[in-house]
Amino acid sequence: MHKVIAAEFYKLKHSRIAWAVWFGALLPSLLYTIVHLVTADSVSTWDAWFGSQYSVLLIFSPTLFSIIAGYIFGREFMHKTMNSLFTYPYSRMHFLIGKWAVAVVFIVCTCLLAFLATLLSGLLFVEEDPGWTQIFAFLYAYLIMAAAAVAIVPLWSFVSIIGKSFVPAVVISLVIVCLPGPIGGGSAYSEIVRYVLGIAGYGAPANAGWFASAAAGLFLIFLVPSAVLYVKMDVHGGT
Amino acid sequence: MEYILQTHRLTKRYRGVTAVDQVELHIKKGDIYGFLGQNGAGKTTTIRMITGLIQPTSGSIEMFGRSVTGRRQIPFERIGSIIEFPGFYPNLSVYENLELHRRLMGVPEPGAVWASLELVGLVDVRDRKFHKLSLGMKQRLGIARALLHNPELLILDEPTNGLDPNGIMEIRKLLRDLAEQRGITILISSHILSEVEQLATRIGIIHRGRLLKELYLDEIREKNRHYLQIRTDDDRKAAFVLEQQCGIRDYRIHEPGLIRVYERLGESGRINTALVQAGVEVAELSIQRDTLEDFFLKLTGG
Repeated sequence: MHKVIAAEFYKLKHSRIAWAVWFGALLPSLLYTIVHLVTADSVSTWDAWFGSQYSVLLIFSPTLFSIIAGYIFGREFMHKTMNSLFTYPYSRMHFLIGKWAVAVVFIVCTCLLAFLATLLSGLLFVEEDPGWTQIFAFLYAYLIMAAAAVAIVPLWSFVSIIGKSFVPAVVISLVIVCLPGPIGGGSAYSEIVRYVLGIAGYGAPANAGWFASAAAGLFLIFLVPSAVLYVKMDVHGGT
Repeated sequence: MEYILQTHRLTKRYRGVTAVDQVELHIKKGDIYGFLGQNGAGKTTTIRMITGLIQPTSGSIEMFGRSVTGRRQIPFERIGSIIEFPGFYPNLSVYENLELHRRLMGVPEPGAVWASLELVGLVDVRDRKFHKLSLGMKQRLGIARALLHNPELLILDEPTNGLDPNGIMEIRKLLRDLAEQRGITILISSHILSEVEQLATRIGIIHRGRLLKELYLDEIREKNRHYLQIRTDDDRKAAFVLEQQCGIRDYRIHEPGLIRVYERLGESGRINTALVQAGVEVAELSIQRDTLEDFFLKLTGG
């Protein structure tokens, strides 16, 4: 199994998709750093500094992670490498797990790098001294975001395998983000964002147990059909 | 008899359409097996079933003397393949793509990549990204990958697609050397008859999903009849003269102005005289023999 996972990472050598991790991780901090450099404003609390950047990453994370995960699964079809991929002495399930592993590592790295970038950039602008309790609370919030993103990886893999490209995953992510909410005003996703913020310690507290159940359910709902599809599918010339 | 690869009543149906119909392939160790058929005849579908990319609807496959009932039983370490198009990762270099293959195939010697590149003449472009290669180079890289892990059976689906005549010749020589020197068994599919004729020792002809014939090329050469080829300005009048004056019945108008006579080959002088005296202009008169193409056309009704 380790050979397959290592090979999945090797395939992304020189690939531009690795830049998506840096882009996603650094963009919120970069934006806020530029704004505060231009306006010469400072921020009084770490809570405000982290909260704003966390919200930004949370809003564009579905699209960012759909691109990363969709690319990892869809590229084999786009580059017509499925024929050779499935003629190695490993089961198809090995390759699927390998790809999931890479997607999860990329997502977790993005969230952790974003946390570090926010922390380091905050040292320039936040007046309050950071405490360890606070730092761990922020780290917990970013790990919650990573968990939420990992829960959707099977969905991205499922639609990328069906669509034989990363495009369906990106389209669905945009729909998720933009879909109108049940009660007029913001999008449905903004409700989810508010909920995740609540679990992460910002705004109104939310039920973490319900969140964990929903994430696990979502993960499993698409994990099984992804696996069945990948293992059973016929690989034709068009792929 | 030692068969490296056999299929028994191998069938694939798609929503009522039978793409491959009870195909029985028999490939012996050391064969260069030319799998011939027109586009859409079922060659690639058969090969995809053999390599586990497609699940057969029915039938079975036997490889290296063992029944292969599912993908897990296929001895991929002993097989090298190019199926339809040699897909590689465009962001990786030529060397890196082969290195990836070496690692996945579990080949311990790092030198295997270099040896494989040397074999197909791609050492000079080893650092070039795959997407910057010409089609011919991509095909050769596909062959390098198929050979890197020293397979016993090489499965090549239309491997000369996109190659120029020199490239085709090089690949042909390479495959022949591999079969002779390393004893590799080769299954090569193609719709180009001349290519197979020059390379294969044994052929299987597939048409509309059915394997029509499987035989050694030498058998075809023996079977193929000699004929008298007559090129004339008026094939209808010539046919009349052949029948009425020479008493010839076994002949065929191959194409307008070209007649093939299959009997009385020793009487070419008399036939020529009869035609000329009847006012038929004879531009060519020669003894020839059916090619694989003729055999193929006869078999497939083309």
